[in-house]
Amino acid sequence: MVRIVNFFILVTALIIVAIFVYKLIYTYKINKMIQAGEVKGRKLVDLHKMVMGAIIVGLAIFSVLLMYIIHDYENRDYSISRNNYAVIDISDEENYRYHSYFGNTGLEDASFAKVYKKDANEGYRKEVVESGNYIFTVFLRTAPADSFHPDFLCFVEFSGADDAKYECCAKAAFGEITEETEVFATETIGEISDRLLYIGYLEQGCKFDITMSLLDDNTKMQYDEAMEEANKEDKGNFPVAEEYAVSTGSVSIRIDE
Amino acid sequence: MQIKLRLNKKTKETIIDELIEKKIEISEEAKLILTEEDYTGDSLECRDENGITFVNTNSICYIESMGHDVFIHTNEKRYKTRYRIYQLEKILPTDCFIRISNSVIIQKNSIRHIKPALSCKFYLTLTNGDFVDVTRTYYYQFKEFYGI
Repeated sequence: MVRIVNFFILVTALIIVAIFVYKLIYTYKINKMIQAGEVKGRKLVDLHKMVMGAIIVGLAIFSVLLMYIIHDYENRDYSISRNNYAVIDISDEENYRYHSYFGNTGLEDASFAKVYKKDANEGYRKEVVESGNYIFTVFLRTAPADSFHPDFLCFVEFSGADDAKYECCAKAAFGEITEETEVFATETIGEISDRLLYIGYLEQGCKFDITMSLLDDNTKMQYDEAMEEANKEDKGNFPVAEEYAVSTGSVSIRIDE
Repeated sequence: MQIKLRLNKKTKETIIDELIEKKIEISEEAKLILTEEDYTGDSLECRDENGITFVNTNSICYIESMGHDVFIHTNEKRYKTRYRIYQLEKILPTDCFIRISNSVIIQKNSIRHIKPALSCKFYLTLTNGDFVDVTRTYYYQFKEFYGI
């Protein structure tokens, strides 16, 4: 924004300087002509016409700049919407509700997710990944991108037995395909949800990783102790749930453009 | 009989012919003067503190109308004249004088400096140091006159 304002100021300043310089030249020339009493060469453009011209050029530059800003803003707005996801608990098939989300969901209820089915979805390619005690049913967008349809869907189901015995650490992370660094990650620990649906958007060249780590009482205690220690140290070296987990299931989602 | 003529160029020849026909001698030494109503010649009849005087048009810097009075400014002095500004515009030679506003006529060579304005006007500094404006109405006439 500051860059744009600076550009506006720069253009305005240039116009003012151009007018000022032209005024000096014009004044000098007409005085010279009148003192000499003869007219040589072409007549100069009137000062007020020059001012009008400069204003028109300035407005044209501002218009182009404004169009660029609007175009840029529209693109930016779109890219923001592509950097979010929502996790919807679909255990209760009557009432879908948000489990967690990152970004602007806007809506209070998550019932819009009911339009997506686990069997097949038009405009999406289906992939099933079994990892750990989880089955990840991933749908990747094959139709052209738009703001109304997510880039990916991922149904996550617990396939193990005796789910009361474990707690689950669900981690979701955006990252660049070419790098290991996570751009954005969240972790939530709690009871195992039977069925979750991840819905989200992805920038081109980015991936979205879902990791479901199961912790039993023992490993949960070790993890909590490590977390407490990390908090005391306050150096940002937090424990990774996968290292303590008895079982880990994960999937990496990426869009091939 | 001798007579001295103060006539404009347009009518001068015709009247001279008529006078010669009537055997009236034309002489610059004559005491009797025949003057045309709007005659100016090289000088304008003006008035100053000493009374009536004739000001050479070449020495006029500018003519200004103020209210009901019309003043003739030279580089040295200011005179009052009985002529109205529109009359002077007709009387004075058009190649030497130009009207620059409703109230001002300037002499062609009396401009010392021109300052253009952004609003279709010129501000003039004249040779006697006075300032006058070229108004929007006379802007293009002025440009045409000086070829600027």
